[in-house]
Amino acid sequence: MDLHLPTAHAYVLNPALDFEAAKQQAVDKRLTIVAGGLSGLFSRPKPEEVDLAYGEFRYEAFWHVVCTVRYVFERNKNYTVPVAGAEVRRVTVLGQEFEVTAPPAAQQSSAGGFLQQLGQQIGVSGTARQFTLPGVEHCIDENRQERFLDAVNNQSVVTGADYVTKDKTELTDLSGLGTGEAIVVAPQLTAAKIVKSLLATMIKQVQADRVLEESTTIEILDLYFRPVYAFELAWRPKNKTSIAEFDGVTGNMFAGKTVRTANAVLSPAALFDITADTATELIPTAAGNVKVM
Amino acid sequence: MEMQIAEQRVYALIEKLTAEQARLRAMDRRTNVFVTGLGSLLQRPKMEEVELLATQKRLEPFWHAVCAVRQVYDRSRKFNVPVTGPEVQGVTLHDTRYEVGNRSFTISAVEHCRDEERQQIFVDGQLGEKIDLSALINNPKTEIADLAAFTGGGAIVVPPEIRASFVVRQALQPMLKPLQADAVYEETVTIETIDLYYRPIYAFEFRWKSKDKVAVAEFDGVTGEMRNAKALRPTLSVSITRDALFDIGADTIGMIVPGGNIAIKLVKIALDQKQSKATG
Repeated sequence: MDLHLPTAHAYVLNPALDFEAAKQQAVDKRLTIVAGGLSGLFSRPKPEEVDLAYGEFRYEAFWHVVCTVRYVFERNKNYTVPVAGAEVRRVTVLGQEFEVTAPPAAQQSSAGGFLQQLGQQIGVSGTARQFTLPGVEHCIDENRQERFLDAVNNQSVVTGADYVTKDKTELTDLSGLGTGEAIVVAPQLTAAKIVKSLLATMIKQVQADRVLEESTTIEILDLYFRPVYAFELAWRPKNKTSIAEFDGVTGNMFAGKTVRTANAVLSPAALFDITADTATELIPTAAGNVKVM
Repeated sequence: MEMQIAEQRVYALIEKLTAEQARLRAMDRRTNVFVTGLGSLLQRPKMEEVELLATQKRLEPFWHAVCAVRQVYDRSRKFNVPVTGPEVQGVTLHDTRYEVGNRSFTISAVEHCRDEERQQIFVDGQLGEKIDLSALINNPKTEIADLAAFTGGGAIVVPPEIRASFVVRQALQPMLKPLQADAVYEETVTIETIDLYYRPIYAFEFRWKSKDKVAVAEFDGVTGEMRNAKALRPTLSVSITRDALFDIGADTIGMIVPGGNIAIKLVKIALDQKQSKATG
């Protein structure tokens, strides 16, 4: 199995909505945030009862990975070709003659099967008869998968395809990301784990007599950090808090969570942990020897 | 097309039931001939009310024909062969590569065909209806060499109204299908058997005196089976020649097998020569 590895990249998505603008939106919508839904019909706070208790700016990471597994192989195959009628005794294909026969006895189940088979052998039965044509199938099995996976929990990031088209900046130094006020949610899944789990679903055993090409190409293996703003709003008289989260790229608001944790130290070597030495571990053992290209 | 015709024969089946045995059976069942079905429950003559008016022994004709058709031919055909899966891009057969489209590939081939059919029929010599008389022909029989001189030993010889050509046409009709072929190597129609049989029938005419009704009981002289009839057959003295009966020749073959005139002529000549040598 040939393994083609890409040059990995890390990007930070540039926010379309900055922290202050998000914060203002959260404040403006604070009544809806703390007393939304049905409960708001019965009990609605006054504007002065709701305060912004906490706000955070964090980066959440996801992986964009594109893999193609390609097999080019040949396999011998005997084609069973049914003929039109009982009158066909032989068939000539490409100058070679093939005898027309009855289907194998295994296909005959009933007691009447014997008579039917006898009729087919002597060519008086109306049921299908056939000839067998040996050939070689030239096969290409190509499977390409593109995934956007959360770097913490390996869940699919539904809007991933949209994110990667947005304005972004390549990170040449990952450590620079967490130096400001932003919290960086540390990725739990490294490149190797992400690729390995994906390839486990793609690499298979092909039924072949001759394998001409067997390759895995990881076309894209990029780590993205996207800005997220979270605001905790407190309804003091009721002692109730609610959190509104803003997607810094799309500007969408939704109920979310805060992280509040200290910045993680991002190590490029630990995240992009696929090397020529470790690449062989990405491919299931059934695929045989791995050659990193 | 070639047509081969076997020797055409005329047979008279030898009766197993004598005239006297038949008469006794008829007399025993004479009340039955007047009543059928529900009528027998309501009205039934007494034995003494039924009298025998007349008896008749007839020789009724039927045809037995066995025909076989054999056609050997080639026809071109394209086979659409499905492949195993979507991964198959092409297939090589004998160093020729076929591209796969819609998960199948197409090969040109020649089918070498042999179609053989054989059919046996029995046809009533007077009405031309198909009847199953296969049980009769294996019974003892005598061959009638000179049909013109055949008198039936006092029995009425019923003249056949159906000719051999009609019988053969009936037999061949379902077998001669239009041929879809590029090259025909053999097309043979063999009339293996075309025999005329006479079977003995005893007929007894009864009268139900009090009702003045007349009915006829008929007995098959070979099987002994009884059947009711309406009346005795009139005596006809029609002279039938062998040539008129066995009329399969160049003139009639066109009606039996379209386009078969030339081939039938050749086979008939060969047969005639064989016959003339034998007689000479």
